[in-house]
Amino acid sequence: MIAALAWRDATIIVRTPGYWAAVGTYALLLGLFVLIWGGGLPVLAGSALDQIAVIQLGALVALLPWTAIRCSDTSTDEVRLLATVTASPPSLIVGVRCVVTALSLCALVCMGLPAMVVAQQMSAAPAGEIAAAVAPALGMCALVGILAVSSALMVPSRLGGWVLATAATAAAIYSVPSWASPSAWFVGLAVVGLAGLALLERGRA
Amino acid sequence: MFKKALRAARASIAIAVTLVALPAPAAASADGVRITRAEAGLGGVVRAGRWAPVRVTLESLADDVAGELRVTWGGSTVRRHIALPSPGTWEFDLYIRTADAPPSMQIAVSSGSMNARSVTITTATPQPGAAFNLCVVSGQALSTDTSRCSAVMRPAELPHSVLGYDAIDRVTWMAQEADVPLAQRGALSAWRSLQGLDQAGDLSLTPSVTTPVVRAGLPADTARLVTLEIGGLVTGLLAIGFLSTTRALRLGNACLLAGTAGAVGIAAAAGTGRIGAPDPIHIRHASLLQQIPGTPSSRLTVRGIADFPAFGAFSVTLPIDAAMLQTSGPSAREERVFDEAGHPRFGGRYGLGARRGFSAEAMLDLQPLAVMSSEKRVTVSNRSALHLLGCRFGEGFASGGAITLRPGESVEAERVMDGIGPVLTCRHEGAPLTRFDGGDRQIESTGTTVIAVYERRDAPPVDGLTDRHEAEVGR
Repeated sequence: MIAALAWRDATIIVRTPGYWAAVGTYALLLGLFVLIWGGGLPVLAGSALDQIAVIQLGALVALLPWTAIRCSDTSTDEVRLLATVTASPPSLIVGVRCVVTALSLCALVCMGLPAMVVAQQMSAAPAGEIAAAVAPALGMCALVGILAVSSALMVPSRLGGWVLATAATAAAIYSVPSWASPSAWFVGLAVVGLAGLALLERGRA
Repeated sequence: MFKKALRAARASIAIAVTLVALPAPAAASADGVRITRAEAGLGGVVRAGRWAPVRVTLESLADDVAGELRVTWGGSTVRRHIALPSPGTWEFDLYIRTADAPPSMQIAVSSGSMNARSVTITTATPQPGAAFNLCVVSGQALSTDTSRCSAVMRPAELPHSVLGYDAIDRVTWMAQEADVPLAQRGALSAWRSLQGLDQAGDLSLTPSVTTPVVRAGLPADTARLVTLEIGGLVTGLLAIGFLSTTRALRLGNACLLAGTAGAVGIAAAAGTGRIGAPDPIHIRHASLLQQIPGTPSSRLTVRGIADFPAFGAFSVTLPIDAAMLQTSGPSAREERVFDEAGHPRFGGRYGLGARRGFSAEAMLDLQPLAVMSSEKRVTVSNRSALHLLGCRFGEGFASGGAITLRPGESVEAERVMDGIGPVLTCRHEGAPLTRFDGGDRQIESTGTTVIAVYERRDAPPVDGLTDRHEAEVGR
């Protein structure tokens, strides 16, 4: 049942034009950054790879919540209906949706890797530094997946859900403590959020 | 009487300091090689901001010794790779310059796995404001009065390159015989000619070379490649998206195709500048070739920027002896590297599309233009195979505008008044008049070389030379 639910959610996302528009926009944005400001933005410190990692996070704060909200039609009624039809607990449906959304967002982030590789080559940095630059973005995908589904369940309008998810994502970035790695912090918040959401849905049921 | 005694005492001290400073205080050895002798400066005397010759004698104790000779003086370091094929004695001439002139210079040799062993040489500087007068004495003339000498050297010890004479203001000849070896004779002659041009003001009126201005961002070839890669990826993703949203592709196929597009994009990005035939290193330069009158040589000054076409290790070598190649960077320290053949090079691990500014100085046995002058008329001929553009006569000549000088062509002008500066300057578009070596990478050079030709000026006299000796040494 979990696989069927995941397959259904992934199919919905892949068939949404907004998802592909976001993927293309993201890949193009990073590519243009490398082409135009490959030598480095004067206002940012560090190598081309360091700078593109910052630009990437900035772009994803807006893009990931929008994509997640735009590509799913999550609502309380829809979850209840699906739970009834599939005879599954709503917490399972919500959990699967969070995971599938997060994985779809990870795929989006991976489409920026070619531009990151070009930036790494320009910076004469070891290939391993690409992983270090992308890890926070992947952690953010896990968090945004939970935040977007939660926002959609709490706020009926898509615009409101997107604003809420974006604000929560920005707050999560702002709250990264100096002693924690950003990727671990985001994943930790995502796990806590997922557990909380599942408990909430179980309580509602 | 007192003045005479004081002069004699100064002379004795000058000779004593010079001769004591010449040999290295102790031999230093590394795995199979040791420094047996080291001399710095002209007779141990150096000047801040001027090239100082350093002559090091190494003794190799084994076959095929490879290592590095390193000279450190203040904020400057010269590294010379060495390859000594057989046991024996090997002599190396290096040149080093530093803005301050600390009183000691470290010379170290390292080989194989052994750490560097070093010797320290003490150097002296002339009195502030005093002219540097180099006295050349023969072995029999050491008892001569050298009170006016800043340093004393024997003819065979004179530097082989004109760079070595950078610090001196005049030469006093005290040798019995003008026993100057051929290389030193040419270098001394070039130095005297350049001194003459400098004192006449000709060099200051020569156009200077500045590093070419380069548009910010990736080099054009690299930018084209990256545009193609990013454009291809975005187009591919949008096509997959279109097919997915129109339900022409199932989820599995869409994921497979998107994954393939991403993987191809990553592979293409990682292979930028490496796939297929290796892209060349591009050098953009602005150069100046100054023909030194009375000699067969010219002084070449290059300011350039090298564009590296891929992420990897590169090196650029200027295959000329006693040439200098210096990269520009934010560091206050200067480091010059020379290969086993004594040719200067720079290199390292550079990023895709990285740029490195550099400057080079070299003496070339090349004079594209010949000057013939009579009372009022000067004729300049292009005796090279170069197509020279924008040739203009200098100050003091009645001539038309810029003209083109093809190989074998001549141009004539009338002198209407005395003037200083080059007689004629021409432009040559393309590679500089010497080639750079990029190892396994080709080097493509573009830029402009200004060729300046001068009339011969009176060189500063060499005191104590008879006419015959002076003819041999310089004229």
